[in-house]
Amino acid sequence: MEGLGIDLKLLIAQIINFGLFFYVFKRFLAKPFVHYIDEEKQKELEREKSFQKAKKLEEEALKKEQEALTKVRKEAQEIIKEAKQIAEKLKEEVLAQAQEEVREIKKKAQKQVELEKEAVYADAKEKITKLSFFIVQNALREVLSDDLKKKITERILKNSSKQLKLS
Amino acid sequence: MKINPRLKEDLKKYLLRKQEEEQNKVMIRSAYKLSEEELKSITEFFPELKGKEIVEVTDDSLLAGVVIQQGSKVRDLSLKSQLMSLEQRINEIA
Repeated sequence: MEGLGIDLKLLIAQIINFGLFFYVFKRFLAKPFVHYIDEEKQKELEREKSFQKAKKLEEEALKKEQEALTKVRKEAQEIIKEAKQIAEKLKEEVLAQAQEEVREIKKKAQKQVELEKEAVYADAKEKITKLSFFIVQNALREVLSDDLKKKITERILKNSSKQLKLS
Repeated sequence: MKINPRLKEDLKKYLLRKQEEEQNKVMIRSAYKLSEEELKSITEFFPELKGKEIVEVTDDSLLAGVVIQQGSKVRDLSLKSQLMSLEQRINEIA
């Protein structure tokens, strides 16, 4: 053994040293260390679990948000569609009303024009008649001699006395 | 309003007198001066004019014929009035 360079005493001392070290390590260091490692592992697991939970919650929240958004979008589209329909209907009603009013105005205007035409015609007729008679009167004044006047007066008196006798 | 009865009576008498005077007066308007014969023929055509005071007035605008006014009663026998009634009838018809 000495020829190989191995010192037995040293070897035994090292083995004892190692044994002591091992015992001390195992008793005072390994357990707490392993305990610590286990704790850390546990903590890590729990952290992982919480993280997963939070992730799941986040996903669920996102999903709910998406669903709510979709619902709101759908409702908004519905409202817009309804509003468009109402607006279209209103537009048609207003157009129909406006057309009706235009027809009424046209009718009234035509009636007014007719009435005015009649009034103008009546006025013109009256003026023409008045003018005609005025001309006739003036002409008669110029044309009638005293003899003619006498004859006319006589004829008028005869006619009126006949009428009186009849009545 | 109470009126004095005497005053009322006098007023009544006055108005009746005035009315009688008016009734007795006859105004004949003609387009030319009427002759005596023509006036006589008028009184023959309208006997109620006999014995009344006749006032003659010449009015060229009558054209021909006469207008006899006795009080408030007026007989329009003028050519002018006949033309006017013809004018009115034409206006009504046309």
